[in-house]
Amino acid sequence: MSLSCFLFASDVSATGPRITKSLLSPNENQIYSYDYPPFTTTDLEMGGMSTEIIDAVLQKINIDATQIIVPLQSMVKFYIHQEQPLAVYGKNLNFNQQQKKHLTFIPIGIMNSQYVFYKPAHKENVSWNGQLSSLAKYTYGASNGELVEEYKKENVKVKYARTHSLLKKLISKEIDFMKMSELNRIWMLDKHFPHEKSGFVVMNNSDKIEPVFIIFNKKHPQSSHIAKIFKKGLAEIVDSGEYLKIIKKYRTQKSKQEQHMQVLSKLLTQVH
Amino acid sequence: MNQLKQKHLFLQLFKNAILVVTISLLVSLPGFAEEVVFGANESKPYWTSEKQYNGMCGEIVHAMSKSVGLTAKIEFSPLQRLIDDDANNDLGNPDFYMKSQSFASIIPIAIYKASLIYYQPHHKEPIEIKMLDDLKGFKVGILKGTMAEQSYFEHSGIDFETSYSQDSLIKKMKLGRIDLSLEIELVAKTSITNYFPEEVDNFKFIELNDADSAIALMIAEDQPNAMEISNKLRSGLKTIIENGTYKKIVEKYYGVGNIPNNWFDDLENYRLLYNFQG
Repeated sequence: MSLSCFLFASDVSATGPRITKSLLSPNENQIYSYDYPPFTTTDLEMGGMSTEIIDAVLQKINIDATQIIVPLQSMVKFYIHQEQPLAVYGKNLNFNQQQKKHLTFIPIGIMNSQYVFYKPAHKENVSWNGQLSSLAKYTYGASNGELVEEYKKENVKVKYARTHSLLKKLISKEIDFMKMSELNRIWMLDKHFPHEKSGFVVMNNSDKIEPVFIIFNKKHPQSSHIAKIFKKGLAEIVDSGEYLKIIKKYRTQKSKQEQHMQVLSKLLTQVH
Repeated sequence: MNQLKQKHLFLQLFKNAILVVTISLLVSLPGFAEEVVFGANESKPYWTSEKQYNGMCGEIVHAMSKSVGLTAKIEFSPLQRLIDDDANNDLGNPDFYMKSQSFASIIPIAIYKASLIYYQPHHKEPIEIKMLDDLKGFKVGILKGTMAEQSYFEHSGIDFETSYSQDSLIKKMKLGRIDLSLEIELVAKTSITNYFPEEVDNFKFIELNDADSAIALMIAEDQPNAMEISNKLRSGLKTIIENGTYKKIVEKYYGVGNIPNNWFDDLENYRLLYNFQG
């Protein structure tokens, strides 16, 4: 029987029990991801779109694994560098070439990243012409751990914070623009900024498709075998329609669903 | 006339100098040390508004602050209010706060651990729990609200019963109304000692996989002089660990010689985890 699960927090006490399924799952196959709703999150019963996809593949290939969702991306990187998890999930996580030698990347989906600004804080539109130099007079809000050399090179000022704080900083004019995935923006604004959400505007033509990966750790003894069958299992749930059924729960626009499936198919043909 | 003016000016300067020195001296006294306000929620014996030093972790926070000339003030609020306030300094498990707040620093100061507990006289054989399926057939007590993802556990075939307090879980176990209880180890031990001091040995603790968490002090980005204060507090923690004050505080709650194994290694691991820059 396959068992894939994710970790969640209690709401009783800040120094209270955090009852997790991993407490009761002595599993050597751990997969770490960071909280980024609605892709991977402890706020949703099934753990979010990517968590569900990984879970569906693990069930298909009959592998026991524990998906653990931690609050920060830096914590995911800590676990893959300092411990021996089976895999982690995320975008590229900024691994260097040396680190990549020990990792196997399998794309499991995509994010549509976009630049966002807060209209009431700007009389003029903050516009994107495809060149960061056009945003040189503005301050960019970067997520903690994000690589920002390209912004600094174009003299764009950078301030770091977590997504929730960055959105607040857009309102308070401490930053002028930030990058978010489309689904994450919709989720965060609905949940945390329902009264201000109409003020958050996506810069024209700033949509960029970024793959998200399950990243297997070659130092884990089962990694090579599981990565190989994981890829096959993923192809199987794509073919059977199970994959599409999952993403339809999160992506309501048909055009976005089609785009997702087309890009994923292309990405999967590039994995060896 | 001119001499009189000079004398007056000199006296005025002298008075001002005395005032400045007096204020400086007063500020350097403990009662006038720079105050750092933290938010915590009631979680005995770790944090409590009832006792003079605010519980075990409260004592640690006060001791480390005092050793570097700071004064810590702990204000108690419900957890959700603390989470919603994304500009305050927090105390507790960082995982509760990090999703919605950026911190200038996270300083782990203690470890806590969840365990499964049972009352042996009600069971002929020792209970062994290694995985979820092993809980089937038992009635398991948990704190209300701790099971956010209920459907998973509801479909697991395990019989759970919830209670509002850990004290209540211990009492139910003694009465035989539940077989096992999932609780914070130190909290359960404190309850058992309070309510059933002569039966301490009859309550058995089952260690769980990955059951430990950090208790930390989190300095908000919005805290004035956040980095300076963070560095002072790190230094204060180091000082009280080195001079034995820290051990004395923890042993007051765990008992002399009973600090859990790997405590300091775990503390260091959490320090690395929450400050990882790789």
